[in-house]
Amino acid sequence: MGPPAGPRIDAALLERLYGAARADRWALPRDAFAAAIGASVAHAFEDRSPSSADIDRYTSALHVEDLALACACATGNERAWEEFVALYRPVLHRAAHAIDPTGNADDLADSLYADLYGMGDRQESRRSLFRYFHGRSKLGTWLRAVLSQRHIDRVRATRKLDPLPEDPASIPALTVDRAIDPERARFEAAMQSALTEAIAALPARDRLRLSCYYVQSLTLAAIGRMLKEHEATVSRHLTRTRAAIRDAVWARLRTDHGMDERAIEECFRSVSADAGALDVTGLIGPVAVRKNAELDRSSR
Amino acid sequence: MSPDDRDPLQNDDRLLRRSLTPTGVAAGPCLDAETLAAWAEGSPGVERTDALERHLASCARCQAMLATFANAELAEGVYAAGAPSSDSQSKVLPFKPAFPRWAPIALGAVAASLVIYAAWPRHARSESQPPQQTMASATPAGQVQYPADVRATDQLSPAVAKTAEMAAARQPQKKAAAKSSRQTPAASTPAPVAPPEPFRAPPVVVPPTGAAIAGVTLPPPPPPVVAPPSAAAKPGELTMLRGANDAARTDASASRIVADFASPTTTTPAAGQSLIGRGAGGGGRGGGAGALIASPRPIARVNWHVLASGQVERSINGGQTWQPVTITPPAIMVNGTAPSSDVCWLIGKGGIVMLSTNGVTFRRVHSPDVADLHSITAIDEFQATVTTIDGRVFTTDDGGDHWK
Repeated sequence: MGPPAGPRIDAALLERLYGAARADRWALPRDAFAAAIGASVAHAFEDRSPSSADIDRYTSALHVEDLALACACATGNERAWEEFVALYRPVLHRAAHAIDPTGNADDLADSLYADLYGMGDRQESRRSLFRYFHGRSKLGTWLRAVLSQRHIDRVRATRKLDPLPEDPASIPALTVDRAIDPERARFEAAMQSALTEAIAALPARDRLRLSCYYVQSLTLAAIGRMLKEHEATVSRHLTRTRAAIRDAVWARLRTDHGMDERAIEECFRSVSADAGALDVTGLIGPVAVRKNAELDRSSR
Repeated sequence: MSPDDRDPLQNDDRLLRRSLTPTGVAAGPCLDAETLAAWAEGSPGVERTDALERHLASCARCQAMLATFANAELAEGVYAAGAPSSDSQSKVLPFKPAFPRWAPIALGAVAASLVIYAAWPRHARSESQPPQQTMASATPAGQVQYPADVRATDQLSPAVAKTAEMAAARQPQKKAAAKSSRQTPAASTPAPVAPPEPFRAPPVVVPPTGAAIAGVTLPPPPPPVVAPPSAAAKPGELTMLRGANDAARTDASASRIVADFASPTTTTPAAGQSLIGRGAGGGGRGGGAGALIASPRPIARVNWHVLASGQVERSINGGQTWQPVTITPPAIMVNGTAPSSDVCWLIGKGGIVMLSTNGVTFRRVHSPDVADLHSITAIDEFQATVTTIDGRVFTTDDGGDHWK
């Protein structure tokens, strides 16, 4: 936990939070707890100057028990560590196995343990990863988020070193011979332009929902959980957004690209039949394959 | 092209994905782990949600982190839903059965009773038939006596009700055929002690395929043993993993499972013995339980997993080992049902329906709708009912060629 910084926190409030956090279980020094609360407030309000009411409102929403546990662990309290391991070890390992099913889950979880303990420089002051936990979320949720972050960073770092696939089977076959569609390049450019503009005009939440579904392959339930929507609502929003994109693309092709109805139909047919350079099957994975299967079905 | 057809994304969303895939640097700072966690929890400590969502919609790294986190949350929710946990937020189950949990048990018990009834020798049946049967009993005409709660299809979910109606529609034909081909003492009448005689298999209804052989004389078989449905996974029933049932599950894949279902335990004739045809037992067109006159040999129940990744695993040894199932063309599966050890239906995103009739390879069948499918029930390889995510119900009785 960092030193108290920024806004000054009332001593009575700190005492109340200390009691609510049951920090005396770990015999957590009050100044360490005050430092953790101070760092949390400073992180939340950044360069702003919150009023006492703002601080009171903010701290009342904190998960102070989890924060006290993290703070005690960061200070090296053995009983706190025992409690943490008993409570969160299963959480960590389940999350790691869910995140990385390729066999590296235990490595992922164990590496996090090391950082949580601050193994890096135990000679002087241990720099525990817990100092980044400010109590704004539950400790278990934060641990899953940290694991997710590390996993993604690992994957992204590894992907840069991966060779291109050599398996011909992994290269999607074209369904239409490009040579017989001389208009395709024009259609593709027009469609891509119209589509990009249509998507850019969408509200952020709609774009995020679409990305989660089509790019990240999240299930409706997972999207709903993240966006606090029922999965049926997510489904309805996706349908509505697709309709909005369709109409916007149609309108842009007509107005911006001067296409008549017939040309637009040809454009859609051409691009839908062969995504060609727009095909990101290899990058997206299962989603693309799924949609290819839909394409097969529609052509039946 | 009608207005509804002018959707470039309707048949192929590669265009959409390409346009959505973040390529440049997003505006604003990337999310730290706690902000993501707090935002996902809906914590009031997270301000400027709009800016955060704008960043998430345009940052590849944060989007990937969000997706990974969401999958981990979902897996954790599935795993810990029934178990006490320090994290009380773990509560989401991705898909719930759209029918009462007892319905597959009842249907399975009815089917099992029919198998017993058809396979049991007449004289033995009259001696050993218990005075009461809880789930179903055979009547003189070979008709199945359903308990009131099973027949009351209007009390079932739409999916089960449709399935039950389809099965009921076939009953008159079977009833008439059974009535004309055999006579059976009433179940409630004390049966006279039959003189010892060689077992003579009851004449059976000739199935449409004409493959039945009636009247084969064989020694009486031992009583068939039909295993009761286990508490862990009922035959043909989709079960969500909950803590109590999964406490013993320690393998890594458990936390990734979104659907877990098993085929019913059934019987088959031993090698060299004959299957005399299809009796009055249910199962529908060509897929019913055969009337067995040979020693029944239990077929191991096949267990299936649908993982959070959309992949499917299969176990033929009670879940001790799991083998991945190759699905061609690959698709993301979300749910499934296995009405028998050989037949498995899977449903996936975008209305995908896959069917296996050998328990190993799957083929794509027609989709009832492009909407995501929520749940599926099936009687056999021909009859199935799916429910879309928005509650619509589609039924097929021709193996997925047509849905209505």
